[in-house]
Amino acid sequence: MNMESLKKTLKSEQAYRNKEREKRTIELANLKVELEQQIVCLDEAAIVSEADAEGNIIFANDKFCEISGYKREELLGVNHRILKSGKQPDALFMDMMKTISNGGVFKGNLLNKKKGGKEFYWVVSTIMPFKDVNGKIIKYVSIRFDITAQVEQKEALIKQAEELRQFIETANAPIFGIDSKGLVNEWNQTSEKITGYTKHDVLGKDLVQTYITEDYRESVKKVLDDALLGKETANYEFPLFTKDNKRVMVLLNSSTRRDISGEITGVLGVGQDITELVGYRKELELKVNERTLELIEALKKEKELSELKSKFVSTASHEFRTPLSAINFAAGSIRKYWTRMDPVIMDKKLHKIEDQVKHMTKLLDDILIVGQAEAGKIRYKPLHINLGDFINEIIEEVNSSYKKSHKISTIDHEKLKNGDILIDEKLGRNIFINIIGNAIKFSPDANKVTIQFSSEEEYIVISITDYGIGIPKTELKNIFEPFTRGRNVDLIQGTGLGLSIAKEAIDIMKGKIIVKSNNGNGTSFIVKILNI
Amino acid sequence: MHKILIVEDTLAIREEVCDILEMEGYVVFQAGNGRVGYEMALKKSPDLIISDILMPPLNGFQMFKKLQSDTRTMSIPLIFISAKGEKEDIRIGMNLGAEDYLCKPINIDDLVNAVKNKIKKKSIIDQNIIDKTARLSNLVENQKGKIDTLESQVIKLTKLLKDL
Repeated sequence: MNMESLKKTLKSEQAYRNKEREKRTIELANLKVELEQQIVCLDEAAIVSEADAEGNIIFANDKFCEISGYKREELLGVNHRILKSGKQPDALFMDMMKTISNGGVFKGNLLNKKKGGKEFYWVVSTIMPFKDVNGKIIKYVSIRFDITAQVEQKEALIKQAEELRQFIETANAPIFGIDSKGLVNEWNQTSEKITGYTKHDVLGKDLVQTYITEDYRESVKKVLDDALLGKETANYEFPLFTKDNKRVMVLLNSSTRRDISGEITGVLGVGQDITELVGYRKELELKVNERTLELIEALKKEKELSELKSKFVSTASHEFRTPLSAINFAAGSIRKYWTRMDPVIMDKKLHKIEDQVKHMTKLLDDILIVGQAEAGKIRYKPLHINLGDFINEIIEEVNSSYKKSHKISTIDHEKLKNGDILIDEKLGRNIFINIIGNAIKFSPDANKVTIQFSSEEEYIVISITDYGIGIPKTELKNIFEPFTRGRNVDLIQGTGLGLSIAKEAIDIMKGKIIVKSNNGNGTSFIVKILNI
Repeated sequence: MHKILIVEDTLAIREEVCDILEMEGYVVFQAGNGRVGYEMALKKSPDLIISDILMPPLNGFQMFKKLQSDTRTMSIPLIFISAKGEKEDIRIGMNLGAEDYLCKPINIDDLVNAVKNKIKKKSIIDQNIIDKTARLSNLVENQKGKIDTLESQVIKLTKLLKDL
């Protein structure tokens, strides 16, 4: 190879090199520009600093200065530690140091302290050690992003959640939760208080199977299952078992519990202890029932009274028509035939008129007594009177009104007739005139009536026995009802008021009356009067 | 002398009605209830019965029904006297075929007039029957005479025929 050609080769080689160098220079220049731009971009976005191998700050970008509150010259040469908040565990920093001093990249959230030490800021930090060609660490580059707002937000959220928890925990209503399997996962203090079961007792237990009374299990399960399907129930009443085996009535509102993605995770039940309320309600219901019964009773009485009145009207009109008829005929006869009527017959008729008027007066008196009794208007004025005098007078009166048809004998072994009796004379007469009168009236084929006196612990007992037609068994229960007459009375006259008058008088005197009778075999009325 | 039966359970009324009717010149029988009344009606064949309604054991309506179903007593007219004065009661009595229904208390003249009228009517009917009977008896008597004459003629003819 000749020199010329060598020179030529060399020259072209030189030219090539120059060209290459030029090209590289341009490339480098481009690279530098790009790098500078990237650094600008980085500085715009992140908080960037560099520290030497000992951790002393050798570079801090504007953002770093801005967020830390230091001027650049205050930072340079100072150890990175000045940013440490002291509020994060040492282990975190030991871990960090270990990672980066071994050439690894550290990533983590750090709380940094601003200049002055009173304010802090959170950064998510990436620290990377830079090495020389020998692999020796020459500096650490940190790139951080400010996450204070996020952290604060998160903290606020956590605090809020905590507050809510606390709210549930201390709410003055039983609040409990179950998971999707029906196992208890919430049980607040009020739930504990009401049921006696602690959170520790119930967590993880099957709510329905363990704490709901059997008769309600199915329906409560349905309410909770519905809530697990997203169908919520309001104001559902059910009983819970307490630890001491009582039933507590709870008014439940169930709501479906969902996670952030909307998946159903369980049911939250907010209840209300309505045991007391239910108690009140039951009491109220009881009261209403009582009142209703009272009203029905009153209505029944009113109806009875009105029936009695209509019965009275029809009976009374018939009972009055009969004596009126007799009087009318007797008076009419005298008027029509007086010129040729035997004076004896005329006299008889005039007597009859008087008798019939008496009968009507008696009827009227009886009706008035019954009316007073029905209206509760009878006055009770008891006096001490001699029993013998009292009874004898009545016997005489009854005897004469029945023309002495029967012999009325008295049996008095204890000589009670010599003593006194505390009685309202008018009421007493109502009793004995009617009963002794009945004894005679309803024994037309007999000729005697017996009155026996005896004493019991607190009563004087007066038994009136006849030997007459008796009272049919089926009618014994009705004999004291006004206007009631036995089926077997036949032609025996009466208003059906006598015994009801007697009974009323005995009741007012707080006495007793007992009847013993066999149809066709006589009757005994046993009257007991308080012996005070 | 017309006979009247009074059926009434209340003695005071029965006596008065009895006295009144006797003063009016009737023969009076008394019964205290429907059962006795029915027996008396059979026994005494009265021209008229005056009856109360409410009388146990056999009341006036029941007695009247019984009387009406017996050929011996069915033609005896009856007047009810009752304290039951409702229209329905009166209707029941009249529908049974009673001659009258008087409500207690009854005016004495009303009673006397009612009795008089019913007896008069009964008498007329009875008289009519008697007259009719008499006429029929006459007729029968006449027919009998004719038959007798014919019979004697037949006997005569028979005798003649035998003699021939």
